Amino acid sequence: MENIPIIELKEIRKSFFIGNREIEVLKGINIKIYEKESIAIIGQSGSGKTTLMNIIGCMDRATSGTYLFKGKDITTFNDDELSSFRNESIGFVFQQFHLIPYINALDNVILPTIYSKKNIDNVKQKAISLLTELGMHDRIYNKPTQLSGGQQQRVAIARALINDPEIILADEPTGALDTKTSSEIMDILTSLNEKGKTIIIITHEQEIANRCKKIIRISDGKIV
Amino acid sequence: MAKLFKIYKLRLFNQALKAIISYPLRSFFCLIGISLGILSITLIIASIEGANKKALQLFSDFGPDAILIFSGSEQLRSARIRINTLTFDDMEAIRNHIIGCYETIPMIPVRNMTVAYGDKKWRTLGIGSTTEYFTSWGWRISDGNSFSEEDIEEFNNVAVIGQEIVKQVFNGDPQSAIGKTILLNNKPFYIAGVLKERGISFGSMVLDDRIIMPITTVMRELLNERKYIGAIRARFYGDLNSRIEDVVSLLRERHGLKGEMPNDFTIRTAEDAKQFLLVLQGTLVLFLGITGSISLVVGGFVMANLFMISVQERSSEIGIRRAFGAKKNHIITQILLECVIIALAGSLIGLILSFIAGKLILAYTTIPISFSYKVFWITALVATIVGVISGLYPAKRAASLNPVEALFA
Repeated sequence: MENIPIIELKEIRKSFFIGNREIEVLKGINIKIYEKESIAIIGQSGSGKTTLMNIIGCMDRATSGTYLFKGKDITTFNDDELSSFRNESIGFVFQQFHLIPYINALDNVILPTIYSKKNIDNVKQKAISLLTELGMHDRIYNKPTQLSGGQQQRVAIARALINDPEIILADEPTGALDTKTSSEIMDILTSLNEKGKTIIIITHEQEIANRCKKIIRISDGKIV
Repeated sequence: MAKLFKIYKLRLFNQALKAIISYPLRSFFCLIGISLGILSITLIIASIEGANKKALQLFSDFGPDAILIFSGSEQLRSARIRINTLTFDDMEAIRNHIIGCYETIPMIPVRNMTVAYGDKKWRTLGIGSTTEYFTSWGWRISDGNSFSEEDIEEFNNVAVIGQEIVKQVFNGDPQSAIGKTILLNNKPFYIAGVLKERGISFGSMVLDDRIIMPITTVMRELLNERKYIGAIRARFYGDLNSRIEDVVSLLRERHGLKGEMPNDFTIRTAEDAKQFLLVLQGTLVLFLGITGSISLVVGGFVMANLFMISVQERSSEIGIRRAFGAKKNHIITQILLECVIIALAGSLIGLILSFIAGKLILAYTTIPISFSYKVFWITALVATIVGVISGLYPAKRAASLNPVEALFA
């Protein structure tokens, strides 16, 4: 088991059409990510790192290439299968937090369980303990607008963890936060990795990338 | 498995409910649109039911085995020209020669008869008839007595008054009317009894606004008429249509009508009375039907539009849900649930409004309105259909959004 990567990307290419012009954003990416790793994918804007993240997170499909998850080819999954895959295996953390504005912190954390086939007992209890662990015990019933950026990102991390996914996929998780809050959020993410979660962080900041055990640098659609 | 399915749907239902509450303005306008549509639909159903109920009552009041023969042809009657062509002899002939005839009653109207008692004055319809009038029409005496056979033979000035007269002249107290003497077209009449309330009206004609007197007295004292009567009510055993044919040929022969000459009398049945009412009602149903359908369609359009805007506004939310594992069907289900919940709530409000409107209509008009449980189910069904149709396009739009584009829009 040890030598099978949790994620293996082979020759992943992605192109977009702008008018009639085909623009290749990813030009043959090969990555192997093993369980319990923490990986930073670093690149300047326009390097294709967001597109890569969308493909790793199964929000988007590659134009060509193969995506193996625990050795299983998921390139052929249909829309519903991809949705279930995201639900069970990926926990997203976004730069702009992306909480649903009209429901409170607790309901935002519970959100992924709504679409889960697993019948988790005491979902509410689990969500509350996750929020408590992240120091949010007195903000459980607050709406996102009543929370600071750092607090919103903590709620978002709790949401990413609720379904026990194999991978936490964080896209510029500190991009909208000040330096102090950034390091707090990074502390949380690295401690999650220490507890055994596979963490993938997309960033353009070297400092953030340095907190990860492995750094993959991407430039102009290629790994360098 | 079934339990799991239930929990699963319940969660989506909760999400829909939260969204409805969180977008109050959108929900409010949708509610108004739908409830106005449902209001009209409910009133249509209630008035159709009311009309049917009234028609059925009218049918049984009139007597399904009875006919009413009026003096004068159809044309003259519709031109409101009154001539008397029927006689007591005609009535006797029908009674004796038509097979299956078991009852005939003569009637003569005194239109715009003045009623005076003390300083109270009123105008009403006087009817001269026999004692059988009350039994034949199934119209019982609530207070006092009917006039008797003797009263008819002796031309006595005796009257039985309707509830409307009690209301207008005797302050609504029937007991106080019994035994009093009132002036009818300036002739004194003794009040023997009061008719039970019928509570039905025909447009402007209130059935309870009438006074019944012995036909002999009416003809001699009030009308100075010796030969002709206004109408004959007859009841038959057996097939009514063939009896009517027999009556027509008998009367034509007796009145010396030959060949193409039109009848100088008009025959009405319970069926005609029912038709008359349903035609009256038909106009209302058509009017309400058109406005009801239009307002429902408009309500549906309002809802569809607001949801389209809402889906655009909420594209980020849809992207988030998709990122965390919502399938296209989950998104469609949630939006449709939002629409159907709003539509059902709207239909409930519409129902409540229609009960209030129904009470007002009953109080201020003669349009019969009748509510039943059927209305509840029909409006719920209609609202669900409107909700689904309005929500379908926005829901599909929402589900077809590219998750990445929706999320970062």
